[in-house]
Amino acid sequence: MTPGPLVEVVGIEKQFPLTRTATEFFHGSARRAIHAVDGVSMTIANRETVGLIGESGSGKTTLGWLIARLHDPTAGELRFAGQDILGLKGTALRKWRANVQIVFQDPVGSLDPRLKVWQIVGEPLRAIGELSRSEVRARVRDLLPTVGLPPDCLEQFPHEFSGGGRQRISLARALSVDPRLVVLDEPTSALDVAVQAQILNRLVELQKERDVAYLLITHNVAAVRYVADRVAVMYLGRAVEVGSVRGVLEHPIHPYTKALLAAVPVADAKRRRTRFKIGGDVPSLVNPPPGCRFAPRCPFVVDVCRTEYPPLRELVGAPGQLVACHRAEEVRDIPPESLLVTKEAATPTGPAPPAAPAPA
Amino acid sequence: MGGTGGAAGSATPEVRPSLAERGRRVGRGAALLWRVLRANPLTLIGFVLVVVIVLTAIIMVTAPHLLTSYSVDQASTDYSQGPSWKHLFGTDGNGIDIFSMVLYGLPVDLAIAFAITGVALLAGGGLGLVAGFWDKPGTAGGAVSVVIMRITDIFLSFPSLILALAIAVSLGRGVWQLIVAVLLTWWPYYVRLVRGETLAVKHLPYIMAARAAGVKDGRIVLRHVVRNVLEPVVVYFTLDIGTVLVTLSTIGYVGLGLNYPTTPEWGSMISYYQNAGLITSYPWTVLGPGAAIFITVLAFSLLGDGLRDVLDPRSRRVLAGSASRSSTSPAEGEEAAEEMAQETEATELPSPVASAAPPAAEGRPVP
Amino acid sequence: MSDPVVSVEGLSIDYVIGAGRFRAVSGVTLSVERGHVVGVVGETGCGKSTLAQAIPRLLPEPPATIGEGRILFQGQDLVQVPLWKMPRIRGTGINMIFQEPLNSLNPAFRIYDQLAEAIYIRRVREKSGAVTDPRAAQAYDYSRSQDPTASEALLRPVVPAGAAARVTRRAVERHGDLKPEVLEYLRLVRINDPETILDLYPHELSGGMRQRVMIAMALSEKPTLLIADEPTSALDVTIQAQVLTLMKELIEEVNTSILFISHDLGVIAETADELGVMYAGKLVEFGPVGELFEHPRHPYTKALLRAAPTRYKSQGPLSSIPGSVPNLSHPPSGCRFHPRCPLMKPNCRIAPGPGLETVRGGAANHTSACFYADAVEALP
Repeated sequence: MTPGPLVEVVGIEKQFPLTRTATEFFHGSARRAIHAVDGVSMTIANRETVGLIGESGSGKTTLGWLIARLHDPTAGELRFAGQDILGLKGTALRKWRANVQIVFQDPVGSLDPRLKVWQIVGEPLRAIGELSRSEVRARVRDLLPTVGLPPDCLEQFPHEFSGGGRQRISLARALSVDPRLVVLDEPTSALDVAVQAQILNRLVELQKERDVAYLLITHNVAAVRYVADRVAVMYLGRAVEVGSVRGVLEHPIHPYTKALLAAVPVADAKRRRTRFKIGGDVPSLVNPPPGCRFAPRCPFVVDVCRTEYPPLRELVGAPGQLVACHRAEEVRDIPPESLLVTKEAATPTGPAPPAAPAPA
Repeated sequence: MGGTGGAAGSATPEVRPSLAERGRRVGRGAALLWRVLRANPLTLIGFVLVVVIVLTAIIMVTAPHLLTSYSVDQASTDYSQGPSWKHLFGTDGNGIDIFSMVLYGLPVDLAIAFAITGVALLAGGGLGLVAGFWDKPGTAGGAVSVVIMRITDIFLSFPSLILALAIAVSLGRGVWQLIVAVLLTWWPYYVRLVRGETLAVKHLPYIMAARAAGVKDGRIVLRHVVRNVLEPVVVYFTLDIGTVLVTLSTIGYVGLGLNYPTTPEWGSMISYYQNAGLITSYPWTVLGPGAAIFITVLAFSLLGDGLRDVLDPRSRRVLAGSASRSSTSPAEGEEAAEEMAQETEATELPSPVASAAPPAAEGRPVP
Repeated sequence: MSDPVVSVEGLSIDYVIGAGRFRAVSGVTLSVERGHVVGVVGETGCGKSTLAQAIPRLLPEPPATIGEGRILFQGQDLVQVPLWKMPRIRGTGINMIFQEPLNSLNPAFRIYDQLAEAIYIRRVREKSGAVTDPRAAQAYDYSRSQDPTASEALLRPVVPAGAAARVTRRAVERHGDLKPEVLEYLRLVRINDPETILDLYPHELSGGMRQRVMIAMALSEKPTLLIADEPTSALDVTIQAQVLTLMKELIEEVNTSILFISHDLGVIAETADELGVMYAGKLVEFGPVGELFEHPRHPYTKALLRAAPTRYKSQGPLSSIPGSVPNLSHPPSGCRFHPRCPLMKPNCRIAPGPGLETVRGGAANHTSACFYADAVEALP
């Protein structure tokens, strides 16, 4: 029997209800909600790294938190190693948490400023409650070098470390209980590039040593490219493209993936002459547009995009790459660079991106 | 490879016997306190005054003869004397030495003030923690939270001084009655304060991290929330002692306080001499306790304001000088300075850029 | 040919905090030519933001003090100008765009009021002759029509010196109808229906829209020098690309001079003509962007470029720089990069270390502070 996936997410949804305004209340209208994650299905295999790319509001962090059971989903299924974990409560849930740990984005806020390094890193161990203080300290001392921290910083406080050092502490905390999955929520976005590279390299080495799976949530395409095996691109609560890193990042099919790749600034002086063609703002999650979420900004939009949501489907010739686009066959071979206009080609007035009307 | 990159590894490996380490910590803490105080003359004044006041109070309870030759309510043979070396604050018409009565009043006032603020802090703070941390609507905790907050609101909706006076009237005179009367109006502020701070701390990522680590809620509250809420609460508490003293004096002044001269409380003392008509002919009878109230309130206010700076780790670093750190992370000092620079920038912008942007969200509202 | 708008000469800025003291910027010399965009990159704590804020004297002094050096702007040394006179130079002379557009816009004022205020200040100064650089104003020839009667109303200049001119809506409107110009500037930053946002508050706009409004505000004062301090770092990637596209178009249309601060070499590549690289408070390399990217002449620049994300990077360990940024209260002696440098030789440790010198075989304004600048090309 082949082992099933480590994590299996089926049609998971998360809505955050909004308070009704007085008018809405007296008109008896239904409570509106933010549709943060709107029916996402995905799997994470053992020892695999899945990258989750998206901009703010795409629901990537919410999805990561749902998988780590820090949020309760509104609908959908969530299985971990074949076991349904949505039913877990109280002590059972706390015991399960050792399986999935999380590294947060904010290197300052995610460490309690009043605790010492060993107390922070040892917290998950203490929560399991099988080890004494001195055993926890010893474990932490052994753990620190694996994330690239000196073992004698046990008694230091988080503010004595730089951003990179703090993220290493976070990483050590997550790894202290030997989890099967670590959710990395923008682990490097607050760091300088050189430090980012140090942390990402360390993550890759640790994965080889420790047989752990990663869910890497980020907007940093380069990080995903290096660290991840598979990648899911999210836009406004839905996955628009899922597939292998090589497939999605080198031959993106969905127009949004192309736009995202084209938008990444690259250290190349030729970029000075390019203009980004995609206009508009990310629509509100409260009243998401019907049909394809990207339709209002999509350069390839046709009428059906605005009314019907395209399901994720596999294209002929691109096995394992799932795309949610009505015109996937037609746009698949358009390179992302075509969403950049170089100045020579631009009209004198420029390709003025149509700014979306301001949200009310 | 950048193995040991982020954290500066300048700390030398050393064995740390916890006792010696603890001793060193205390020493370092004292040194830090001294540096901070030296850099802030007003805080220093407040600190010294509070130390003197508390020491005096302790002496007055344990060995009053060191400071005064009179016992409580003991008359001398000098009647209605003005201030002199013999009677620093003069005497009243019965020959009672005002200075020694003021001294006798000190422990009484302080004890009452600490009792009120202390119980208010514990009770109100505890309720605030509960109401702030378990406030999710639709759960049992949420219901408890709502009940706590509505009761608090009911108490807060009365003007606290008038409520205290009304309760004092109905309970009658006496130390315990006075404490209960003020306390009943005092705790709701602590509920509000602690709940607000708890709500702010509760959503910080490290609380989420603790939850993700599988830590029990109760432990999260004790280990993470209490420690991080403590700082603004301690500042408020210190400032509040002055406020309670003023309230006590007010209650004493309107004649609902304690029974002077058998129980020497400053507000009651002023009220007593004023009612006796001495305020115009023998003003020192009133000025003595008035000055005592003023200095004590001032001392705690100065100390409280200073504590606000001392307890905030960022400003503590700035106050005490960044060079003193043993193993500093790279460019740590500059980060602090750049943070400061960014904070100030919001208020110093040129005119077109509107200037009301509040400084970084880290500045917690401290009343 | 050299016509710098601002020249920073040997500028050093110290922070004195309690007993501690460190030099955040040491001996930086940099100038922005008229109509050029000069980028400054560096990691956190390299002093780039301090430099940006020092030029309009927006640094809190104390704890910051300008130790030595000059900031030459319009014929005067801003270091010597008393702080109370600076507001007259800020705004129409030097203007800034900040990273976080929500904090930089006043949450209590509508978009119209904020823009109108900026335009009002400029008009008042133009009338009073306070705008000392007519060439700067001429660069903005896109401003089509100005109501002459409205300008008449501005004859009485009332910008209070010393204090930032905070004017009420009524006071602004007494000085003529500013609405056409407000709308014009909002259209300039590609906001298609500017009428719809005039009455909104900043929090009702998206991040990208707020940053557009900030840019419109800055440009509406027709500054001689615009300092953009990480203007797109808080934005999402596609929104950042939009704002960068807008900035690139405006750079050509408006022909303003910009000092562009960023930690992201990619962002700089999109906008700047020249680029300065800062490390631990010092400028280590300066040159035209294209040449500097193709042929960096300082090991730090090279390492930074290698670590910068490229979309088509092949698989393999990401390039990082070993070690960490030095503590500025005890910077390394000599060249500050020497502890992390692959080219380090004994003389790199000796004070005062290498100064900026023109590189051989490069552009005339390409300078590098490395003894072994010629060997950098050979580095992997």
